[in-house]
Amino acid sequence: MATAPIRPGDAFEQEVLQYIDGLYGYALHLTRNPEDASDLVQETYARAFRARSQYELGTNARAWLFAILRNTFLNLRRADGRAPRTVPCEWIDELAEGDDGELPIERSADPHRCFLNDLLREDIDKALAELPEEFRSAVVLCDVEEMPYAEIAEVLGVPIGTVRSRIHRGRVILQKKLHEWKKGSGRGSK
Amino acid sequence: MRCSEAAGRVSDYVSGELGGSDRSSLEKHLEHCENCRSCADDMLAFRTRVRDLMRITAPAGLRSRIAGMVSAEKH
Repeated sequence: MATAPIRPGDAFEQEVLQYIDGLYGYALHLTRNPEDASDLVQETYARAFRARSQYELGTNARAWLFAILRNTFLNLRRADGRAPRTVPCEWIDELAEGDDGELPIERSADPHRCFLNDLLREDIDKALAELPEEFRSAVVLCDVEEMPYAEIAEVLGVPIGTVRSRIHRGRVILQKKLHEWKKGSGRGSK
Repeated sequence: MRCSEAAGRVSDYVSGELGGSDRSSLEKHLEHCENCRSCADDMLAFRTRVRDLMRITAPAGLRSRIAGMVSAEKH
């Protein structure tokens, strides 16, 4: 049976449209607002379609799109006069103080399983929101989108070593916050 | 491998980014060190939980807007 020829535009659209859910999820982490997230994804696709001649089919569409989305978000923030905070290294060191790669929990399987089962989406959402954007992006792209480090480096425009460090520290800070909240300090969901 | 060295590699291991001899050295350590193995298991379970809870589907309205944009582009 003869099949209709695929026009280049169709292949491009197929390739980029498959990432709409991931882009929306990432946009939601950046904007913290569903309407702004939808607008950001729409603007990302508008820019991608305008720049399609710069994209080579079969190369990394996902990294290209996520980078457009993040850069668009950062540019909008700057235009609004809300330039993204630059995080001093000392501040992050302080947050991750005592971090030797271990989780801030008792070394027994049961408490950790209970802790995980207790976690709600809104808890993680709140904890992620308190991470500086650089760390939040690295953790979300790695742990939610399951991107490899090399792809995350492409999206964030930083070396792989920086990605590695941000993911490690971001995870440790995230888990510390969640454990503190769940221990009953009154923050996060019960 | 010592525990301090293992701790610095667990995050990459959980991300699936540790390969070759680094990976085998860590796995060998994890076979014998209950504390580090527990740490790796916990971090892996945490990552899975975050992924499962945070995955989201784009709203229908956004899909329609993008579909409209694609359609308009063709005319």
